[in-house]
Amino acid sequence: MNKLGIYVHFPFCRSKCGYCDFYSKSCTDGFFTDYTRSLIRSIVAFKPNAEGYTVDTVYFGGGTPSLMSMGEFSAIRRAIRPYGLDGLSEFTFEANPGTVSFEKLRHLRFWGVDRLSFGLQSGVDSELATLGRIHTSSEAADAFGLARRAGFENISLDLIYGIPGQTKESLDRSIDLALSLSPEHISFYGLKIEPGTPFFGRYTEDDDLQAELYLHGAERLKAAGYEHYEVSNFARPGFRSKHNMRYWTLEEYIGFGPSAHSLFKGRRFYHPNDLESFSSEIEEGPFEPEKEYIMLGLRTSDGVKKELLTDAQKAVLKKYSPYVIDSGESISLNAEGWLISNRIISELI
Amino acid sequence: MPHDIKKIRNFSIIAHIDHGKSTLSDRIIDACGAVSARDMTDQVLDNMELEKERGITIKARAVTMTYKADDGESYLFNLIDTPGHVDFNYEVSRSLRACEGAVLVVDASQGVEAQTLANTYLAIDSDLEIVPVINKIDLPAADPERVKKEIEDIIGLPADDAPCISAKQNINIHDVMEKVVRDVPPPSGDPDAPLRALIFDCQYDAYRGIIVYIRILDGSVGAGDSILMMNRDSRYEVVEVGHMLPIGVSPCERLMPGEVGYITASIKALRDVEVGDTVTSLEHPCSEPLPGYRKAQPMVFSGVYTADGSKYPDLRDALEKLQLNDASLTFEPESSIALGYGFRCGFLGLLHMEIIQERLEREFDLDLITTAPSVVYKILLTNGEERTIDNPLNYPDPSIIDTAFEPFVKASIITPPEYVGNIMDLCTERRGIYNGMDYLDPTRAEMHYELPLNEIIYDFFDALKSRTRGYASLDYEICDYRPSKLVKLDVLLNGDTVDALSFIVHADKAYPRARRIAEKLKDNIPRQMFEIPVQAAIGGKIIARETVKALRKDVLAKCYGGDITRKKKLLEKQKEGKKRMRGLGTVDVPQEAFMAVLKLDE
Repeated sequence: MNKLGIYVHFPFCRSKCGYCDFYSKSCTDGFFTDYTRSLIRSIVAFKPNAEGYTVDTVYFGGGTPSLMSMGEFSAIRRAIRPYGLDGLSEFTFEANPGTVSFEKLRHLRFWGVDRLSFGLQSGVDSELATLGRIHTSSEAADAFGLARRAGFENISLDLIYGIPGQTKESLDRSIDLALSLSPEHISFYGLKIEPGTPFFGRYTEDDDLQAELYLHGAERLKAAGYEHYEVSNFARPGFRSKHNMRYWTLEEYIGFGPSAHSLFKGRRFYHPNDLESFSSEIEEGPFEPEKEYIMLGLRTSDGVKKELLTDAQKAVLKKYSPYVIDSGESISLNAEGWLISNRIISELI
Repeated sequence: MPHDIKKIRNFSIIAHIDHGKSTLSDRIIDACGAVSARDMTDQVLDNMELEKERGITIKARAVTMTYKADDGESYLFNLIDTPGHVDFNYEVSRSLRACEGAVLVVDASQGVEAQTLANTYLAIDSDLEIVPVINKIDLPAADPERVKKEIEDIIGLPADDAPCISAKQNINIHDVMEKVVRDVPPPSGDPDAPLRALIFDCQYDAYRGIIVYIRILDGSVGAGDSILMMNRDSRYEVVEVGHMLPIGVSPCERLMPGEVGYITASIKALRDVEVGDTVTSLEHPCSEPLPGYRKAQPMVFSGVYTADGSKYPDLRDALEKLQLNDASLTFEPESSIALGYGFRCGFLGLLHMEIIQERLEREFDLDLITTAPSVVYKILLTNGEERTIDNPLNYPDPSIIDTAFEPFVKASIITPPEYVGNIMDLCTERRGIYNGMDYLDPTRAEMHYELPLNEIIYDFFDALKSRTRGYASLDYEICDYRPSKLVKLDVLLNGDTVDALSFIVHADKAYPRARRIAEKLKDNIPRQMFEIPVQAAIGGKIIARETVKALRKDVLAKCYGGDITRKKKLLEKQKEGKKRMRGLGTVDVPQEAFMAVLKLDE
């Protein structure tokens, strides 16, 4: 049996954050039953293509999936079940700390969700306000406690560096808060100011400061026992995100919902960014395994196998030797290397 | 079917830039039914992509069409389009030599502008009958009566019965056509005399060889004739003759006196054809060639290199082909330590330079790097020798220079009076010498200046436009060379002099310019793996310094399922960008950095 990852996109938020360029709409609860219905239809319709597959990982992302009612959640899960959930090794649900209740978390846990990903983003309330988050840091800590009580033993927290006004000291306070909660996994993202977002034009990225914050944060998380296993991801041993690892190791996955991408049977394809027409339209993106292996493999601490590199690629990596870790069999980048990985990878592909 | 010479009208349209010349051309073509509505895209005559985009005419075009006039007769109209910018005077005079008349288009609200005058004088010099036309009468600010008076007062042409039209709204175009029939004299010429034809343009065609555009003065020419191009002494057998239509061509048996048309003769060698040359019959040559064109003097020189050094032969081919229909372009091989092999090209002005660059990039698919433009300096050495310098690389060591001379121009700037102060400030900044001012009428002043050419080749025109909200116009001509305090400014990247960035500047301007250049380079050179000092120096002395900081961060923080395709494209684009950069020693410099140095006033 081939293994498959399933991604379900839930493109709704209670309010849109100022930096976010993901496809999502602001809305209130209960608005999206139409959406759920078409999502379920597309999951059911795709099933015949996935004969001979069994599901390895499921990931509900968004948007804010924790806004969906538990009735909707159960209905979507029921649509996925025929894909084969017996061998499921990870079931992640993204949650906004401002939108969870104990009952909701119990429900998710009961129906097989075993990993939560909380968008903490910062432990400093003024920074949360700048970002446009709907929760405070103490609400986030409370939500984390609820999740533990509801039986979640694998929880991830998102943190952002490069928030306007953030300093090394305030980042330390965020990291302190995160570490005090003792999550199994931490995603540590640089703020990217994208065209079309409210942040664009209002703030600019300070590359030097971001570089400093990144290296400092990575150092602290490593010291606290987290393995830096991908550019922006840290995990306690055994707690890497299995679903996300599929993306970086070119394993197959299917994405449902607008803007959700799939890699399946040697093709990349995706549904357009449109709530009305996503289920009927599919666009193709080229799948170039050699290039993508380099581009994605070098994002992880596992790196790329030397035997798969050309001499020219090896020569480029040699030029960047202070940024490269050579384990004998494979080559990966260190944290400084990841910071300039676009420069290195664009020379390799 | 040979056409009655009395029923031929050869004319150009001349105008100040943006007064509506191209639109009027379209209307005239339209009125002759020469193009079907479907093909009638705007401005059919401007068939270079670049011309359409910029909305200006660069190359003269000629078309032949038939007009059925009110007198019931059919006339053969040959319309020759001309460029309107000051840089292209040379092209205008070329076009005018093939005509008997010129339609002078004047904007009904803006009135007579600098270029209106310059073009009118060129037309008068060529003995053309001038038909004034007032355009854009549909605009709210239109004041045709005032403009008519201007034409009479300033140009000295009777304009009482000048057609008042709107080319855009297709109003009164018919009047223009009838005026052309009535006022433009028919050509004269002896069909039995030996062939005498003027080459007024040509173009390279990959299949048919060089297409030569001619105006027949005497005799006739047809397929199978043996011809001689007198100045170049090249001989060919004619393959085809015909007329140029707005779209495509129409071959015919013979071209007769007074007609405008084309010849093909499988001419492959670019050097065999020269615009301005005389075509005659090999068997019965005419006794004397026509007087050639005034050779345009290039005034601005710049090094042109391909971003990819191996494309050097392609650049040479492209320049040869462009030169064929733009004789004002000159080029000679040069080499630079930084950029390798390239060409020193001479241009009529800065706009001409930009147009040539864009044509090279678009029509020949080349990525170019151009060096800062330079004018021609004359240097008297202490040993009495005199040198002409159009390339900063050849600038002599200051210790052997006795006196340096730089070219000055006489400039005339026409502007609404409220901007006079701004223009005076600008010209003072540019070392201008004020020579007085005339009021053309209460709303327009003409200011006279003498300016060093090297102060106006960079961005003077842009600065003038921005300080007068686009109202002022500039015309200039070279007057003389004057002694000047010049220095050569060098630029160093990471400690190494980049010869391609050196330029010559007036000593008083050296410091501010050096600072601006260092800043501009800092802003346009992407961060690299190490810190890069950017320095400007005179002789060995550093007078400005900036630093491009080392690259600290260039990473895609998030890369999940949906991001992979998009981010792969991003990385590929970055790779392409890197390819287009030029490695100067240890530093990668993008094309934009070279261009940015040219535009210091922004």
